Amino acid sequence: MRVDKLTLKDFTVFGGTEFDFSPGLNVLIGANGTGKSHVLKVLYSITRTIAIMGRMVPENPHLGVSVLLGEPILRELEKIFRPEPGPSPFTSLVRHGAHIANVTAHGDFASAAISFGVHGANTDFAGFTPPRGSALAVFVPASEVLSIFPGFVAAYERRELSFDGTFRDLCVDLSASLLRSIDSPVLADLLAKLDDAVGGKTVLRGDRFYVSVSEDWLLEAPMLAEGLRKLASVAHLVRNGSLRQGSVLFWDEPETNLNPRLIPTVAHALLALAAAGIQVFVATHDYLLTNEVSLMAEYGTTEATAAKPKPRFFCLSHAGPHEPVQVERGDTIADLQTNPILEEFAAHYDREQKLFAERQPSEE
Amino acid sequence: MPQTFVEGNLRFTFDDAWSVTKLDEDPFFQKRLMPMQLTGAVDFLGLYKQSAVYFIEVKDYRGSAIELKNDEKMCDGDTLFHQVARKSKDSVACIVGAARLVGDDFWSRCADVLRKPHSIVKVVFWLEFDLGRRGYGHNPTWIEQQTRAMAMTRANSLKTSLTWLTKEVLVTNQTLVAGELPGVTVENAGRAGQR
Repeated sequence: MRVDKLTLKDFTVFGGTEFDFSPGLNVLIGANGTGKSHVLKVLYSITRTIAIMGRMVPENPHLGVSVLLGEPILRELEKIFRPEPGPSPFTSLVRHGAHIANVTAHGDFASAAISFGVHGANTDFAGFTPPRGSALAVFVPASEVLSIFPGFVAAYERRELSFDGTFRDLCVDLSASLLRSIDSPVLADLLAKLDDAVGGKTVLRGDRFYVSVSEDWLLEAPMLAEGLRKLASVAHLVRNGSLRQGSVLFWDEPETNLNPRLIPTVAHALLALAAAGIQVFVATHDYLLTNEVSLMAEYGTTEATAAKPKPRFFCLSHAGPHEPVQVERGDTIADLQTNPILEEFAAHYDREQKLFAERQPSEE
Repeated sequence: MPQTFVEGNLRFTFDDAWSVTKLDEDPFFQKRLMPMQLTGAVDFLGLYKQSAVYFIEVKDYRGSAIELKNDEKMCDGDTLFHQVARKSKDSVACIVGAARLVGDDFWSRCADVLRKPHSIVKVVFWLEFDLGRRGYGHNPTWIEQQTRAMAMTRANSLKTSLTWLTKEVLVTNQTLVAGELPGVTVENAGRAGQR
């Protein structure tokens, strides 16, 4: 599956915004509260549903697209955004002061449009084309799940938990059986690098994850550093085919709990996944990660980093207090006129420079 | 009377509040310290308003991004930042020796400042550099912010080698300068010079 374009109108913090995505890697930056995760989650809700339910559309023409896709997408949105239950749960996803929100995604599935407000929700799938193959949309949240994996799905289904649906879905995706082999050389190379970073191959025994450090040493996942558990999850998702050509990956803040030394590994992983035909969406606050991705793609010294399509960078920012979020697009990180991460690094220099200059001999 | 010095491609002019010596050309340094192998000094030793000592090292890597990268890398345990710290150390030795043996007002006042707790001792690394990546001329905002971010990370590298002397360490250049060297103007000298 592939998402080419997303149009948001009065959705959460967005006034009227359009994204033109790369079929490869898309990097979203922006200060807190600028809606990066909202973009990832709304796209995930749409693509996840289409990936799972889309193939049923031509097989069940009597049911109609709105039954097979419309209702499930709305349920997915509820599961992912967890608005307060009530007669019109989606009103909290409508921008303050507006009455109706519109979300339209375009891609190789044609289009999926959702509108919702106080008076309910509508969906439209004009010219819908079912996705080819059975590749999934996968969401990796900022917090890791390997340590909560045992029994999580059952607990999620039966009890009220303070986790959104991405945690449940990821646990389901992680539980899939392993592929017999990895055909893609880029992904095989990526797995070797991820295993090296994690300290071994990730394995699922029963309902627990381990890292196979050596032939006779299985390290329990909770004993692994938290940042590494996310890398281990991504490696396992590649091994079990959840991430393969045609998949869509949404990865929220991959840098969380990760030592900066491993950031180049993450940057390479993102580009390698894109090179293997997986469309990737990343939201990040990390200076090093954004610069590494841009640098690796610009110089393109390996098969993974030289691959096309090239990544695309998006900066989400408020034009002013209480103003809707606006979006700027660049093909490199340096193309962005607004870069809140870099601005803060530069501002730190300014503060130090000011302190340095201020301490002077007193006038006598 | 303002003092003007040319260092490589840069011309530094210090106003009347400064007393400045170019250590490599100072007779005491040349005679007493330079003969010792591996001795070096910062480019300028400045006494500001008779009560603040500035160690100023100048490097100009414009047009030589790869050379800067190589100098920043560890090479036999040495880096560009270690070199600046070592030059500061040798310059302190020069101040102490000259204050004892030459005894003029400049050296004595510099030594007094170094000796006093909480006195103002600053290290300024005047580092001219280009961003190594080409083709970003279309986004001057990015270049300017990235330059400040890189100056910050480089100052942090230098600070770790200068904790024995002062925490007041700054990397700056013509793009960044904003009051950290009061009464000093820096211009391109308009001639080829050695680094």
